[in-house]
Amino acid sequence: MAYDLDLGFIFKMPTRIVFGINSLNDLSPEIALLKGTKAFLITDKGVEEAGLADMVVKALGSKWVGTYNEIPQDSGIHVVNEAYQIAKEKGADILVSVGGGSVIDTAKGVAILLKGGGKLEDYYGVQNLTEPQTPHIAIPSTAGTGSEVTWAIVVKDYERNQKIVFGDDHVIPNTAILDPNMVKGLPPMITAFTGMDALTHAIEAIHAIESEPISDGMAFYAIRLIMNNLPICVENGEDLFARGQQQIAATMAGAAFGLAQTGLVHATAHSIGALYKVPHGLGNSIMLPHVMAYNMDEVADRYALVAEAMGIKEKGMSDEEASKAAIEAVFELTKKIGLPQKLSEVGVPESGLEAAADLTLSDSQVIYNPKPIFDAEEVMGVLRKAY
Amino acid sequence: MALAYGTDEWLEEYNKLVEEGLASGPPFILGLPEWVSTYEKLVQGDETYKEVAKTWEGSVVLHILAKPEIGIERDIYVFMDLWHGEANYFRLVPPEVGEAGAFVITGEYERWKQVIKKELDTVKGMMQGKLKLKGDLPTIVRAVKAAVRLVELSATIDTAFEDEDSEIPPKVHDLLAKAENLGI
Repeated sequence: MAYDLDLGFIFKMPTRIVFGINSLNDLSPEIALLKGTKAFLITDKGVEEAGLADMVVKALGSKWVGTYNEIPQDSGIHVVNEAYQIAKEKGADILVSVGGGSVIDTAKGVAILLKGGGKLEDYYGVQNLTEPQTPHIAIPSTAGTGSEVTWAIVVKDYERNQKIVFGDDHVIPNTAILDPNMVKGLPPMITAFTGMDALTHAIEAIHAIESEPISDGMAFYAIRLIMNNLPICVENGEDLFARGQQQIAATMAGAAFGLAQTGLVHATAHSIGALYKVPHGLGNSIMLPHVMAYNMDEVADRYALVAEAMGIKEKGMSDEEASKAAIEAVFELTKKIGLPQKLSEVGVPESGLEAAADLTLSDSQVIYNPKPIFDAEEVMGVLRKAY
Repeated sequence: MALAYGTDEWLEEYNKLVEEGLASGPPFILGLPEWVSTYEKLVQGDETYKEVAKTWEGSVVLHILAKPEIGIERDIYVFMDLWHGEANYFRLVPPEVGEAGAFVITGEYERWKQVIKKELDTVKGMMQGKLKLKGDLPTIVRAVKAAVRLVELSATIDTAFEDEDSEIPPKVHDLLAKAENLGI
């Protein structure tokens, strides 16, 4: 699936990236650059308990007007609406999110509502916004989601029990502050599965039908960084160099999939996350090698390049052999960093696979999978292998 | 004074425009009543569409943004009333009717031309910001086969494009002037 004459894409990467140890100290000047005066903090209780929210409030100083911290593992439409009401009451003119993807995505939704009012449901759709939204600075406290540079808002519709994707270029955060200090306390298990989230973003950006040279460039380098640094981060969270490299990789992978989209790994992970509360990165981690095996006959040339980025492609290997090596390397990595290997280990009931397969067909990312999927039975085949 | 949309008088006037347009024969100009009517008949008679769209529920509106330099002096809304594989009717509608459709896909003239020439995939176009979607994305994704078929059928219409022939913009201008009392 090499590029051909049909290649056509739009490259966009509007987020200003501020990286470095202690770059949190740049928060106040970055707010000033965006002409913010009243900063509203969006975070979750885990981040607060880790002391990170306090660090941010201190960095905000007199610009801080309030905090919303009631964000669950899977944020919801109702959560965005509630956070907006409080931010509005506080007179916020800029948002600062500190957390993982759920927190950052919530802030993206609040940014829309602070600008246009109403409820998030009023904005169902894709690319409907016509102007910049409320300024938003994202400070990831995990290194995986990439949400700090993406255009998507993934929140759960708790009434329909389904994850909903809103997409708009105008919700891409203005600024992302990547400070290794913000992730050094992340427990090994969360470090592991959020790191696998980043690896999945990179590999899916490469096999997605919208892949293109610029996103590929970021994805391949992200793979290299993750393979080298994720095991170190899991083993020794205090290693700020490895933490920083992993943060950079996660942001690069996020930018890559924001451009190229993903595929069946994400579509299935969204479904099992919505139905059985499997954390997104963990779902991705389990599904990734199985989906690669499923797609291999279509994109072996692409997976051979993945193997090369992983540093495991040996001279003389065919594309198929290199693809198999890349799949095996993913299995090995997840074992090395102590992650579950099967859906049956993470609370997905066997009787629930059919519902997950069915829901997968409604996920926007499924249409970018290199092998077209229209039938739930095809998805079931992959889920059964991952079970 | 504009006729009220959906009344017998409105439909009578609208059908007159369709008949007049069809009388001149193909190619039909993109987005005009005769083009929309031709599209409607194609979809209504297509067994593949009926099969792949059998679970589809809801109207789809193709919203073509105005481009006065090629005669499209105001926005055009092509309303497609679709239900369980049936295409009940396709017609141009006033903006307030179009905007109330269950799914409204908006784009510049150039984007629609790319879609009809099969140079731009509709769902990918939405993701890239070339087209805008108002409505529930998962529902559209689930119906991707039906959406693909609709595009395939539109590509089979013998279509004249406004920007490819200098004689077309005045025709579009005249039609829209005539259609003003229909609010479309």
